[in-house]
Amino acid sequence: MQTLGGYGYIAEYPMEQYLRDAKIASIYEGTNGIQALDLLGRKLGMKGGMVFMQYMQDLAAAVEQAKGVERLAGVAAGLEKSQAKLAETVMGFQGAMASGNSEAVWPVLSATPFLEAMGHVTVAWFLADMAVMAQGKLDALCADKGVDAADRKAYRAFLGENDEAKFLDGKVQSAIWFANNVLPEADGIFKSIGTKDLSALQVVL
Amino acid sequence: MSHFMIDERDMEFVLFDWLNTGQLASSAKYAEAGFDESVAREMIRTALKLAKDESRPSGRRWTSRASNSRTAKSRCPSRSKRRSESFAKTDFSVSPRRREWGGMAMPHSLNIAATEIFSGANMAFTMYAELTYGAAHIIEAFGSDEMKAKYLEKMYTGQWTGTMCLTEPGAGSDVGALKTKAFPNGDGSYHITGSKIFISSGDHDMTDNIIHPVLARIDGAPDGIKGVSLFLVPKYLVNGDGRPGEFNDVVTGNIEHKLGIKGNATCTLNFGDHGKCVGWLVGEENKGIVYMFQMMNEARLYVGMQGQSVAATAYMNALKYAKERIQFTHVRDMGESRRAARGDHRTSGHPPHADVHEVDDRGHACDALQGRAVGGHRRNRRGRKRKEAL
Repeated sequence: MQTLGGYGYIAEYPMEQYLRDAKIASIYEGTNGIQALDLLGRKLGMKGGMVFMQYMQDLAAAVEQAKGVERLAGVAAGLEKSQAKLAETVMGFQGAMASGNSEAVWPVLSATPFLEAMGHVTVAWFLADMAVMAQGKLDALCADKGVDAADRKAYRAFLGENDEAKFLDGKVQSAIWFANNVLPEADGIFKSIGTKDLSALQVVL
Repeated sequence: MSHFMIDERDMEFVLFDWLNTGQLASSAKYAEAGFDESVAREMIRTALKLAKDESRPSGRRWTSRASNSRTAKSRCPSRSKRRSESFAKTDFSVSPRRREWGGMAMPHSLNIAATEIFSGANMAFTMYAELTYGAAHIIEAFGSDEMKAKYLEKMYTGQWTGTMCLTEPGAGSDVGALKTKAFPNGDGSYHITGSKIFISSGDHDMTDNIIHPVLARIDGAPDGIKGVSLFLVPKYLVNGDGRPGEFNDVVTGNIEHKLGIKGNATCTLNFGDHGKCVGWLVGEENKGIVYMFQMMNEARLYVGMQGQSVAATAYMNALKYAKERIQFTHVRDMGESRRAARGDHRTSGHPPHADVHEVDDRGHACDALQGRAVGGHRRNRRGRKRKEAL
């Protein structure tokens, strides 16, 4: 809607309907708040925590793969950093919930921002995983067509004339863009969760 | 004019390159069903064609008409029955189910991809099919043989639709607070009384019957979630010959006027106001939430997919607009914007871009050109609209 400006706001274009249609998704079939409590209370501890452990192992494996692709070095570094913060936050939650004291309410209060942060990490991971595959195909395509990717001018001209190359390069750029522009927000959210702030419960309304 | 757009290459990349869905053909279960990558690609092509041909042209009209209904029973826009039938014929919603119930035994990932296409084209309409699938799957997993014989094929093949009836005026996220009650009739059936609200696909006239899975508390059962049971309540009782018969006292109290998904009739349903609503227990007493959770988990994945489907078509529309829009005398795609931001115009290979730069140099001519360009853009749109109306 923002891209279309005023045209996005009126019914002549589809954006206003998309915006109205999509809003229900955060409300029905379990509100976002309920989904967050589900992640915290049911999914993290599922099968004695084994499901989450598997998630972390798969993520780490994807990071290692991304490290092997020159263009994705920054993506891999960003993901590795966020994964460490995710692990730290989950361990903090476990300690608080096991404590049995007033701190046990902190993970519950943090559930929604935690869902958002873990969502960012997961999307960055999937994009990185797809980018590794796309770069492999792109390298093969360049080799096949005799294009030297280090020659920026020739490479850009190639992207302009070859739709498949443009698509594959776009997959890589998407992963880079997300890792640089959105993933760092997760680090900020983990930092805010780490303050263990309970003022929202302590305020008298 | 509908605006559904999807990046088909990206969808193929995710399905066939990244997820390697084609390799499922090596599993005996899917090979037996005749699945391979070419079948999968053909299914996706068919889904795209259907979404464009059937959902697409009237996606917006569908929305506004249903929202204006104030009648006790919900009526759908005129073309929706045909769309519903052509959708059912493709067997997409039943594609992962077993053949004995009309399914194709295809991998679930393909069903999800096809549903993303339909949802992007018409989110409100596709909800009818998805709720039907989830409700029928409850019957397949937990229902009696009699229930399966009575309802399954009809629902999986889209002849009847389904809903999920959980929410009540005082019980939303806190489902265990529900007040709908079930009284044993002595013959294995139950008399149901109570009101459910915000029921998606709750009432319509696209199909002959609607099957409601309803959470209710059997008289005398414990308070809270542990006393909740699941019942099947058809809108019309099913006769011995399998056809819908007598009205089962499920009255549509209201059709909500809401922000979005207006093409889906979101209803208040009153069960048993006239003492004549019959329901049948699914599985065991007081285990209703366990059974319902199968449908809820499926629906939760579906809701995530809905977000993706709408975001995808919105992105494609925004990208198209950004590439065509003439502003500050530039036709800009994303790449052009970046280059312009860096002040580097030399790499531009697009003729319109080169043209407007000549105008740029004349300074004051910019405004005039922008005015013409925007005006022309609007005139074209109006002309196109008139053509469609004809």
